[in-house]
Amino acid sequence: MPFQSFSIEQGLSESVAYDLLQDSKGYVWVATGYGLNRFDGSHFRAYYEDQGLADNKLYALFEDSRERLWIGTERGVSVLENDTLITPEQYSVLSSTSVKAVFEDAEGNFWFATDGNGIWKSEPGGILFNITDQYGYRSVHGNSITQSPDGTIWIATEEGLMSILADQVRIFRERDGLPDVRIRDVKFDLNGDLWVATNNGLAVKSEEHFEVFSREHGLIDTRIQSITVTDENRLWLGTENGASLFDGAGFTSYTTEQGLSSTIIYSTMQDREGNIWLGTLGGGVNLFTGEIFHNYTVENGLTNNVVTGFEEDSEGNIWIATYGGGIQVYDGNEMTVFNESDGLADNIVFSFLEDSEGRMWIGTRSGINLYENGEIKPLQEFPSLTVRKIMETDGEFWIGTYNDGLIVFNGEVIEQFNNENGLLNNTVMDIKQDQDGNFWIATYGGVARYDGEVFRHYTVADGLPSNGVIHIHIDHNDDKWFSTFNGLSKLDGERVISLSSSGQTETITYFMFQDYDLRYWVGTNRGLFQFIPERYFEAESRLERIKSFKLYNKNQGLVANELNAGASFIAGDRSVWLGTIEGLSRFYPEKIQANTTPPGLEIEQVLISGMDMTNEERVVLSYNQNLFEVSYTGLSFSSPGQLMYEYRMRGLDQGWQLTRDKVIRYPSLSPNEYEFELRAYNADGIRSDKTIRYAFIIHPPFYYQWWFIGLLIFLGVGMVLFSYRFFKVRKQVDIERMRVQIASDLHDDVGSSLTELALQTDFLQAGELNPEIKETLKELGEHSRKIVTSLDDIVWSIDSRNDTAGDLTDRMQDYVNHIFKNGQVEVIYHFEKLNMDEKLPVQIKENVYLIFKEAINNIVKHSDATRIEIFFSFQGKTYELLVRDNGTVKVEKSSRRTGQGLRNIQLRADRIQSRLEIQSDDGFSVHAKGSI
Amino acid sequence: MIKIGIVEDNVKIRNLIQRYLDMQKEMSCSVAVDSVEEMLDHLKKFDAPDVLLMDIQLPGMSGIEGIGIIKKEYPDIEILMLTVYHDSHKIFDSLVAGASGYLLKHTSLPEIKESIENLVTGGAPMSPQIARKVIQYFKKSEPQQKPESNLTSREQDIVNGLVDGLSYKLIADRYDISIDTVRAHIRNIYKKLHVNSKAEVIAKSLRGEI
Repeated sequence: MPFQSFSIEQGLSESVAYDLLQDSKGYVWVATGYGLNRFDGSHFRAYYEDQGLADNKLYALFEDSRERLWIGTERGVSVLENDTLITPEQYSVLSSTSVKAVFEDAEGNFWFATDGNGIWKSEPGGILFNITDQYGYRSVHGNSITQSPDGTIWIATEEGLMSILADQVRIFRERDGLPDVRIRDVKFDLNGDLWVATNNGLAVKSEEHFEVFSREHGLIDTRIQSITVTDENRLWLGTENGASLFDGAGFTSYTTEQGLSSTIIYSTMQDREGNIWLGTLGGGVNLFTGEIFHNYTVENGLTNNVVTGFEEDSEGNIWIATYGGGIQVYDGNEMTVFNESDGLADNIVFSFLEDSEGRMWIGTRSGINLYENGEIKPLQEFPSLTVRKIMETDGEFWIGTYNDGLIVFNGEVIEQFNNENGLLNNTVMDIKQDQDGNFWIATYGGVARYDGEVFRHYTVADGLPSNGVIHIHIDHNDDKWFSTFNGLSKLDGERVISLSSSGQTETITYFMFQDYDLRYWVGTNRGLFQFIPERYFEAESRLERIKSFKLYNKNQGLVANELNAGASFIAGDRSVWLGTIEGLSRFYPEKIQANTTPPGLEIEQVLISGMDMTNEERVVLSYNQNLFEVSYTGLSFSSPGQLMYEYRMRGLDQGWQLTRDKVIRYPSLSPNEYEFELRAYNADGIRSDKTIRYAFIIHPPFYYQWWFIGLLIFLGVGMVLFSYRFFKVRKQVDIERMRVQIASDLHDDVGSSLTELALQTDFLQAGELNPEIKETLKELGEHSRKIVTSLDDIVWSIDSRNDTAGDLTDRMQDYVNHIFKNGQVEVIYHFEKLNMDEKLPVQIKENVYLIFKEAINNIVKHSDATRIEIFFSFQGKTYELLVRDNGTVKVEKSSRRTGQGLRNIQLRADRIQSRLEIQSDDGFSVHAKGSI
Repeated sequence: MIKIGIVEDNVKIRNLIQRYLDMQKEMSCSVAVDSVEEMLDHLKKFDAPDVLLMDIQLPGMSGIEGIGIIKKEYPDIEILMLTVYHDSHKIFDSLVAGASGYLLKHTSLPEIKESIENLVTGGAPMSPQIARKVIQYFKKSEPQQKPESNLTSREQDIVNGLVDGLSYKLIADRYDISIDTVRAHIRNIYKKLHVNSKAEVIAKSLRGEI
């Protein structure tokens, strides 16, 4: 049936559809007597007073320039915006009347047609006022409003056709040529002609009069409720007795016989894809997607709904084979039935052949009949055969049978091929002959090619998708196509390749044919597919491969989705006869128009871990909100079931995925930035204009966040640095401890022993002894003490507790005091620039002290000095030592002992890379400078 | 007759010093032990010596600790520290604890004798190192100190002179006083060190830090 019906059973809230509208997104809206309905091709969503409607009884729908949906109800208007229904305050004055039409004109004024309360108008920013009252027309019942290109507002009212332009108001009535004042609808066609739907016929305005169309012109009923102008400039008229299509010359009528669910049509509408929607009284909504199939069933003349085969005789009659109903011959008007009572061998008929002599061969379950000169006769030679296929070539008849193999018959000689002499299976479904004269035989054991001498078999081993081969098609290129129980396949060289768009592997293919335009069609258990081999073989993606098949099934008007084996026939008039299990469809391929309208696409709901986030923007989630679920719908009404979706989740390293599902779930997304992208394709592979994008961010748990990681790194580095410093300090402490240890060891062992030795000599000297021995003892004691003193210096210098400048100067002073007894020499210290608490490096401390000591020793030994000046400074990195006397005795450098002392000074100075100046011309001075 | 006691763990050194001092007419050294503990035992039983020579590094209680205990019980005993090395930190700690001076162990025996005599007659040795520490010490604890425990201006002068490396004689000359006066001042300075340290100990004990 060309009409699909949607009513309460499909989810419509009520069966009376007062108005229809497709919004800019692509949804179809149905205003019913109880509730507003939004339809997406498969589901209805209803809105009632509970959702904010002014009233549940609705009359009118209108989408304004801001894409707001206006709903005229029995008690005023409601506006749907962003899926929220409101009744604007300024229109509350309408709430006491039924609003039958809403209209926004080119200037942005809103017009409201009420039922008995006149026409109301509101200008942008202005108040709503009753414009018909203003012009003195009381109690006007409006039905419909439109505007002509010159700006005139045209209003269909029960009181006539009203036109308003500026202050000019006019009402057209019967005296103006209208057939009736009760005007239901008014529309301009694409030529700018004004069409008026009256209660007594269709009128078109021509200059100052109206041309009227009525029953005598073919109009099915004169009570016209609705006019829709199609994009082909045809008029669809909804009448109280069906729908009429007016093409400018004549009317084509559609009633319940053509599949309408109700005869009274209240509303008409054409959607973007060109489909016609009819709102009925009591039958819901009817959708007309185009009449490419014309159907016959037992309800309109078939004897049996299982149709198995066709043939067209030389007179143009179509012979129809049924499974149990015998034969029907259709001459274009009537069906003539032949069955067993007419001599047919069996009412189960499979095949026909009109032979070169004009005889019609009829293959039945129980042998072959010949129809000749108006009589059906049995062909006695094959009484028991179940004949599947009859083919004539060179005076021979090749007959395919169930269970009896292939029989070649030339009127006399019978040759039978079966599994004993060449075939692999005894059921022969089809026989074709290629351009080289080879026979191709479809059996339940694969395909056999017979060149007159040998059989070559093609089976699953050669790539055939199933050995159950039902039909063979040899195309204009001599390519061989095999229809099997597991899909379509094609011979490619010596191999067979299986052709299936994935997901259709279990499809049973019953036949393939090419129409007059050489387009390929495949009959299956799921409907009729148009197949585009070039697209299939050049496909680089799964999407393109899927797009190479386009399905036509019951939604497009095919009588049933399950076709029958080999049951297709291309008639001389280019129509195609298709046999199904529920009747036959006469198919008009040339009426097919590609649906180039991009499908709409809308998000229904976004759920994230159960929360509705559909209308949220800049969604930021925590790591445990990681279940993403989106539902959506593509909007195409020509073939909603064939919408294909492509989606991907950016951030997941994923390419486009294909699906026909309308819900996608991503469980447990890991923290990242994501953008979900979605687009739709209609059955013709046309992509939606819109790509839906939904971006969101899942934050990592705190232990993955940058600041935490940063903190960890910071702590780690800190630990390393700390450890480094700690161990460095530890090491330093260890070194210092070691220094102290060495110092005390020296003290304890060596120092004590030497001290003992010295004291021993002292003790011995106290006794009576030989002076020589005494002298030796004295020297021994002095020597010991000298060593102890040297040790003392060493211990002092390595003892880390003595590292300050103060310690050094103290030590210097002690030494000076030790060397020079009271008053012997005036010693002047210049330590003014010194910070006594500043630490000196051990090297500097030790060597400066030793230089100083040598210098003092030199003065003591060789100078007649009475005054010594000692200067020492240390400033951060530089130090300076100056020891100077006022002596006059020239120091002989050559002297052995002096030389030793000066060399020691030089040695010490070199150790700390000190610049050394020793002077002995005018007094003696040692000057050492350096930096760390 | 100066009675002398020795606390020294090096037996040889101890014996040498003891024998040498005992040989002197005006000195007697009847007690020479190797730990503070033994000395304390001795002091309980016998008369206290006038001068105690004491090593710093000792087995058991250290010499510095011993000074505090001994001076507390027997404030009249003058203690001279014996040290192998010129360790100014330990020496100063000893002085603060109550010692009256120090001697390097390798000081010749006659010099030891002389130092003891000087000490008894009122002399007290103070090296520049010690003097500087004295200044630091009084500077550091100045705020909370009672006036009487502060150094007098003359004492300050003397300490400064010592820090400058002046000899006792030069200091005496500079301030026109006798060397003995200098020595007396220095003894006094030692006492104040000791007093302050005691005050500090008391304060610390009152605060519960000890």
